[in-house]
Amino acid sequence: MKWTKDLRQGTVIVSPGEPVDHENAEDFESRLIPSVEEASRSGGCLIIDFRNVDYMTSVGLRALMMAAKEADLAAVKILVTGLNETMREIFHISGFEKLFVIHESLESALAATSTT
Amino acid sequence: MLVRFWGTRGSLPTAMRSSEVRDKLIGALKASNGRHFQSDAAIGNFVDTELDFPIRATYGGASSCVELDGTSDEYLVCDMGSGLREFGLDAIQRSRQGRKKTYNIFMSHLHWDHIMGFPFFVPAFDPDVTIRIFGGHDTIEQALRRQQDRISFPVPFDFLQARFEFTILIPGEVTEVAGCRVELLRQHHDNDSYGYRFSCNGQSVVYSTDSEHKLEDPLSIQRVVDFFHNADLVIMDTMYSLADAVSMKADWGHSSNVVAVDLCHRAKARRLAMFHHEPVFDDNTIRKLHLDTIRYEELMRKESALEVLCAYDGLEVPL
Repeated sequence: MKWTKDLRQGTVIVSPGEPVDHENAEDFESRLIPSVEEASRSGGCLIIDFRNVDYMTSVGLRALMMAAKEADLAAVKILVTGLNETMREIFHISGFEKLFVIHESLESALAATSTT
Repeated sequence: MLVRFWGTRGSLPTAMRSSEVRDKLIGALKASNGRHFQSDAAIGNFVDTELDFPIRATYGGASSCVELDGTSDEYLVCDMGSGLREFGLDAIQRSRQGRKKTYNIFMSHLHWDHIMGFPFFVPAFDPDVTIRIFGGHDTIEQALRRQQDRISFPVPFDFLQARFEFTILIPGEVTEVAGCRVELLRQHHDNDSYGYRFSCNGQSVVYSTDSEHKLEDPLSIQRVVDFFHNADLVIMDTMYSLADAVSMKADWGHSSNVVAVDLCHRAKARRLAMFHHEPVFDDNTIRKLHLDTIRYEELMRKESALEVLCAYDGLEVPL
């Protein structure tokens, strides 16, 4: 899957580059989990920027949950940003909006990392 | 074929509280806005067409029991939750009109909410009745007898007058029953559960309840997609939100509305009936879940639309 990774102010920022469904969910998870580990070794924060993700099915959401569980164990804070309207609705309907801290912008998410 | 829902609640039968009835009356009177109706028929029309479901009706509280009617002159039923009692009484009336007194009952599994209607199944007391019970478990008869042990129930199983046949089904094998070709699929649930696919007169209905779908296992998911393929109706356990199903309620053996839509989309199923409703949910909550599920289906649709129904006690779905 298309994937970009950046490191800013000690925060790992990952950005999947396409929708996540059963075709690429395993790939998504296999990139996401190591990013949690990387965040653990750096500043302790991971931002997932979904600006290039039009939609995500249940398998992608489950992978996100696995990352959250890993993050809990590693004391990593996950912040989510870049949700389009569809992704916002998916997070709402699935109940994931209650499980993740969602920020309006990457800048807002980065600012939040500095307060942790 | 007509699919008739006699019980749609999960885990434990529920009864509506007086306060909920009061809320519905308040909602109906507010919606009528002081209007004067000329007849009962006019009131009925107002109720049927202008009131939202949670105001004019209820999803009901009987536990799992679904009938597939019209496949043959025999009865065909899935599960014996508390909805079985009302089905039995209705079937007695139909048999008085000449319907054959043969009941074919397919068991998803033997947890209490799926067998608790059996002691109140009045046709079991009729010596002219034949009751054939099918399932993937080899302990069905034991479960039914144990439920009617004196410690739990005053009427022992051996007091029943109907003729009983128990048949253990094997996943991968096809059985012909009551005009239908029946296949089953072993599902992830404590002590296993089984989903059924009924193909009857060119139509297919899948009954898949009490099944947790392990999204991290693509092969098992593909088996489910294949089992649902092109079904005219998929009746599926949608008890939890996805967030709950993959976090605090992981391994509790149930599924979510989001997974149900994803599986049905992949399988190109035509209709989904949300089923096995969480007992703590009131009518407003279930209605919201239904609307959310319709919206999720719209958001994720790639090909033809999947119609999303929300099963309630008394719902009839013609196919």
